[in-house]
Amino acid sequence: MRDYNSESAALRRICSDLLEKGAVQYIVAWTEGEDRPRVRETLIEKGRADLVSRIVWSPFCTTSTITYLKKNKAALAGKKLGVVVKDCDFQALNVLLQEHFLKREDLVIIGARCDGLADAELFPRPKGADVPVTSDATGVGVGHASIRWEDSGFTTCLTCSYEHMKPDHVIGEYGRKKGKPDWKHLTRVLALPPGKRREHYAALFDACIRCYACREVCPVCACVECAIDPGERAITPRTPPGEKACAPQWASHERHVSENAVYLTTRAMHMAGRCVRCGWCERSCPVGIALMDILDLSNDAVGRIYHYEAGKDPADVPFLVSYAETDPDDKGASH
Amino acid sequence: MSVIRIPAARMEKALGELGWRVMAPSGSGRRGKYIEVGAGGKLPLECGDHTKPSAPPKGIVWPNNEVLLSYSLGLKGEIDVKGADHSMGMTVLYGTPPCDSASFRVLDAALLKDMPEPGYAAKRESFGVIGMACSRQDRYCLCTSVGLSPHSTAGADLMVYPDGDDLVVQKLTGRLDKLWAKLEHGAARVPDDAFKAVARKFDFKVENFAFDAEKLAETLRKGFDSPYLKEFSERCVSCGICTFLCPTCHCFDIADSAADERNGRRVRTWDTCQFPEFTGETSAHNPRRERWARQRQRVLHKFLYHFQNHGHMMCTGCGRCIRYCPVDINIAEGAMKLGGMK
Amino acid sequence: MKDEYLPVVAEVTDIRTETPPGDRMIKTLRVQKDGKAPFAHLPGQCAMISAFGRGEAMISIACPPNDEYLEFSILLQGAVTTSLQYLEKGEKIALRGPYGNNFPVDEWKGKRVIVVGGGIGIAPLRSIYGHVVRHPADYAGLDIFYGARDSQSIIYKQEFLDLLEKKKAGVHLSIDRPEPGWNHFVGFVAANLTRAAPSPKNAVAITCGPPIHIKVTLDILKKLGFTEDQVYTTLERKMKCGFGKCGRCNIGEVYTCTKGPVFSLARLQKLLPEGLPDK
Repeated sequence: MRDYNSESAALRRICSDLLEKGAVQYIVAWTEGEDRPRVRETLIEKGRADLVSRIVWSPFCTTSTITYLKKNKAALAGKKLGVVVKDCDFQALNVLLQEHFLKREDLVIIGARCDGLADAELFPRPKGADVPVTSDATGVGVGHASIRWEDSGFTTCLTCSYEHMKPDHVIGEYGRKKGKPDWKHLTRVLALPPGKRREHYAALFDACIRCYACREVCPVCACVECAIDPGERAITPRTPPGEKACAPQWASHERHVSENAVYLTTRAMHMAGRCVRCGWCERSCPVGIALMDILDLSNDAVGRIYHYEAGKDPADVPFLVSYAETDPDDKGASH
Repeated sequence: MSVIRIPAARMEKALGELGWRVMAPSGSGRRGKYIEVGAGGKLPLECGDHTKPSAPPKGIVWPNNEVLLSYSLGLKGEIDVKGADHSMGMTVLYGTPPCDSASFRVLDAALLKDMPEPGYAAKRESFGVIGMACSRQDRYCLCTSVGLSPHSTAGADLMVYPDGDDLVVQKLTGRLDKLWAKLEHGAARVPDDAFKAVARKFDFKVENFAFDAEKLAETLRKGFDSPYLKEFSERCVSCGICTFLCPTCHCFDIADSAADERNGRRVRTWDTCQFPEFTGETSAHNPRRERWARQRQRVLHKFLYHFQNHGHMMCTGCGRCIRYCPVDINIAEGAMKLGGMK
Repeated sequence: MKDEYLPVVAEVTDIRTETPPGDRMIKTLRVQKDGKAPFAHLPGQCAMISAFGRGEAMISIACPPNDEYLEFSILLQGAVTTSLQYLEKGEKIALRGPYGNNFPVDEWKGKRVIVVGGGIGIAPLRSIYGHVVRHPADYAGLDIFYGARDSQSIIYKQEFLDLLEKKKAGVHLSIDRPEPGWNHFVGFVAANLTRAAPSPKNAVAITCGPPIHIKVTLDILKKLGFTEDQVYTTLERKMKCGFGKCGRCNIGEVYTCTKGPVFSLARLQKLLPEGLPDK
């Protein structure tokens, strides 16, 4: 049985130590917020014992500290950072390191061995301090309430297969065997006849409200200017008008199934070999779109046809820029 | 005050006879939706957090995508522009809690004054709200902090109070008089003291984030440069969840969607002050380049600017932005800290 | 009810290329509908001009109120302005307006009017000084301070030289660096203004230009003794609807498309300091 309160205490000791010794200038960690057991990414510097005391590690660390790094890249450039990561965050970090988006020498990685995540809303708000947060092979518990992993609201965790986390410091011991992506949800959809399959995906695309949460929370969707629909334009007062005028617009702003489809499918294509299946996009979608049904079309192909695992090692060549003579042609590639 | 008591089935019957489109919340959370209650369909018998879809009801009169005009350019530069028909068949929203009903008071103030927004104005003419007193709060509700309550009638044309097998119905405006006439016919009038007793059943305390928004508004101007802003905006990812799910947010974009070089349409879509390019000019000048500047706009618009311009809080306390924010940003916490109340 | 989104279709009846082709090209378009101004306006107001397929842009009306035409001086910036600069004489153009508040030119009757423009900021100011030039008996005088980076970038050049020659206004042109054949001031507009040191007595000063220009000019006018009620500016914000609904152009509780873009310094000081030039 894992005791996350004691794992959190061990984590706080490591973080405090790193800050006090000056090994890092800042730590990015999850801390307890106002809405326990929900957590929030926080930037902590030396002297902030108040924040260090709120550092926590638990199955409710459902956000990604790597997303925090991506969003605050400019402000943190050149600083020595400690970052607390769980397995999928470590994977995502590897993707960004492969692409030289971040530099390994700027980081001290503190790994928290993850058995899976759970939705905080499924538990009553814990009252008082030191409410036990625990987990074992079957499920997760807060105080007296407990939920099976299957019901915890995080389907991608059930099929997490990542076994290569190599952090500089580590807390916790795995209490569950790693799984394997079972693609059951995908097989079901792909077994539908073409007309029905089209209806299934059209319904997903139609529901999209273009809030772009999926893109913004994704730890590896880190392009300064998104190719499909720029959330932020990489222009300065010196950018020539011609460049601004000729910027291609692949998907118009119209919230229409066809434009939404361009956004959602193009993102899935750009994520090929980069998606670490953390599932945060699907969990954050405010209208409950089964985004993994779209992304897994890419993920499945990358694994099954090219035997590539996203974020396995920071020294790997990124998928979309690698080529081997043994790469199969179209035969056998499609469903 | 016009208050009557009717058996619950009478409401369904009357609406069915009128042939209006009836929209009602179905389910809660991310899979919840506002659906059309068809002929013979069942209306919700109570409302609360269990009937609060993640998307708010504003979409009925303020869709995420509205065609404004279509254009066609001739080979010699001729321009043919056609406006769009923004009208809607008579529609009634049934069974929303006060936090959602009150959103229409906010939207009316923001979109109909001075030069009315054409799309909203047209749809609003044929839209009515039958609000319902709320029976169940969730851990994110804050209606009592923003001048409302579980039985507030702001924004509603009729208000319904479930009472056993009956509905106590209160008439607030003349907009749904055709329906009122049917309901009233032969119904028992409810005297004042009996009505107060019914309303009191919905008088539960909403205890999350308790503060007085009007008092807070006075101090928010001073919090304009608060260092706390940067702290709570650091983890913001600038998606649109808080604003798109907000029942009162109505900022919009106007964009051309070209079918080819000569034809296309101009559409109005939901936009958000949280997107980096919301205030980004083509010259690259952007007065809200930083996330803290954008979060400040959201908090102050919600708790100060709209109140200054229209006299009521823009936030209706539904709690969706707090619940669905992927990074646990809490606008109530933010407002209280900016205003020095925390 | 008027559909505020529907533009009126008019014609481009004249085009003047004010500056040489390149990334800073400015063209002035004259727009008429059946030989008349498509709609009436007051100095300082703007119109939302369409470039179908690309979008719309809010552009200041750069001519004084008159029945015959509207004029817009368009600086090349991006997709919409590129499209507008491709228009040729006789082609159609779609626009809606007028939007925004106006310079209180009636309140200013009897006063000396001083305009201080930097770069494309001179365009909205032309709606004021053009009005003063047309009604000289109503005002106590007119001074125009205007500068650009070089002589090629000066717009309305011939008009200014005419005004100078006919002694209809004090025209104080400047360019940033010396050029052979340039007989006017060399230096920033602000320096020219400091040199000329116009008196605040019975005067009103209006400035428009890039944010840094506005900031520096407001400082100088303050030093010269102009009170907050004697100084006006016109601000720029990204705009989409133009009529106070889309929620983006606000400074605090004020929408710059309806309660602006014209602001006296007195009003400006009361606004929350969001992206304002002098804060």
